Amino acid sequence: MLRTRLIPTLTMKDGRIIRTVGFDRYRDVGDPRTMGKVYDSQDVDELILLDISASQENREPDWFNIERVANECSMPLTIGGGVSSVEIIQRLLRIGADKVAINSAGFKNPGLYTEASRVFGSQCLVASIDCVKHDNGKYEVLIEGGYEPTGVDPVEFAQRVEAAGAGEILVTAIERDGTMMGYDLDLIKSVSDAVSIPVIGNGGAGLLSDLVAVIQQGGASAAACASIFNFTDNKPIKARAFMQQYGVHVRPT
Amino acid sequence: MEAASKNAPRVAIINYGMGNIGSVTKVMNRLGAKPYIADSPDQLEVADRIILPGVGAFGDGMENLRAGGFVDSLETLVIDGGVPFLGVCLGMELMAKGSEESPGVAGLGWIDADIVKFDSAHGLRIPHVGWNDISVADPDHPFIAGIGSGSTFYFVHSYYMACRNRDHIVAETDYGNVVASVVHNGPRIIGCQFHPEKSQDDGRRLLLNFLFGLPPHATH
Repeated sequence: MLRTRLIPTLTMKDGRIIRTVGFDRYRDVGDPRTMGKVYDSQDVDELILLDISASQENREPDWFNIERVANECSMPLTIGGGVSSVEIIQRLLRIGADKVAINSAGFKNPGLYTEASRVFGSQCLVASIDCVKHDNGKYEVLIEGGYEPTGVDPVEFAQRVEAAGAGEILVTAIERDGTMMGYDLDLIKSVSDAVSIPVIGNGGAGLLSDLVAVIQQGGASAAACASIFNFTDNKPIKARAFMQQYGVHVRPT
Repeated sequence: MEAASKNAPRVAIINYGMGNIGSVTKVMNRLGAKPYIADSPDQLEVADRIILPGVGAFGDGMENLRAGGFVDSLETLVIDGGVPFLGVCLGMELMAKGSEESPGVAGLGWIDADIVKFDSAHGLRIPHVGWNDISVADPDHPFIAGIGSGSTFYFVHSYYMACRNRDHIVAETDYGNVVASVVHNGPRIIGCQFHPEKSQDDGRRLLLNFLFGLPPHATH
């Protein structure tokens, strides 16, 4: 039976791993290679590395530091940030990425999913969808690192990228990012109910019970998190043991 | 990274434009082999081991293999010459006779099987992504030595191999449909649906078996 994945995420800016709060307010966490090595030694299920300066500054991915991380990973690695063409995807796969996360470029040009899925297969394309919740309770997809509104509903967009050729969806609630106040379960549930590809819930995990909730209540196939490992005593192995104890079928620890 | 010894096996990793050759190269270095990227069939001739990696569509994969001239030389080296071969993910699927994904395109045909799409009627999400268990069907195969049923490996695929002949199956995995997760055609021709290069300790164990644990070819 398929095991539920617990996926640490690393956010990289200017060659450093940082922590963000609400996609803003940065705090240094460490060197990318060292962080990759630590998670490798902990046998995590997968790792996601998002290079936010690439998308913010509209330039290519930070090849040098991405390769430094990839060199340490004996687990599957997803790379995001600046993934805007088939050529960039090809080069990322060549330096050690197993999957790529497409965000703004896939919004502006859904044909990128179609073209890339024909060349590489859907299974290596993760659609990264950043969402904000408005005061009226409605959700909206934001692009360009949360700076640009789109007016599009996350559920509608998730269905659109699934049809275009995405193989997985990473849903991030921007206002939960870095807060450790728990996932936005309503958002994640609405997206996971609307598609038949796996959904990775992201943004807000602070307690081990949040990791259980995003699976059992949010309907996610995988839980992504960052601060819970960086700023508490919790480690992936302890987190998996907790999840197992509460009925989530994870990899044996 | 460990320096490979003089007798380290030379591992050709076929580059046919189908994806993640980086991960395979890295783990081969780590395990003490001498990996190199083979961009053309003549580069396979000095190989002690051949790996066919790859992600993507069956039709594109076969077309690229054929256009690169790899198909004939693989037949000669692997089938006739006994050079150990490992197909991973799409590389494994190409060992079948054909695929629902690309009707009319013949595979290598080394395994009596077809590649079929997961049945969505089981209500499971497709692609099959993540760590799943294997159930070992042929514990005596040298590739699976030291690995038992219940070990978990990393899968990421939308199509899977359905074997007509159970004799080809080394291990199986349940994801609604029964997936042939490790297959063989003799002790030196092996295919893996999951990614051993991304499956940590148990994956490394399989790759070590592939590098150092297979019986020699009779004519060697």
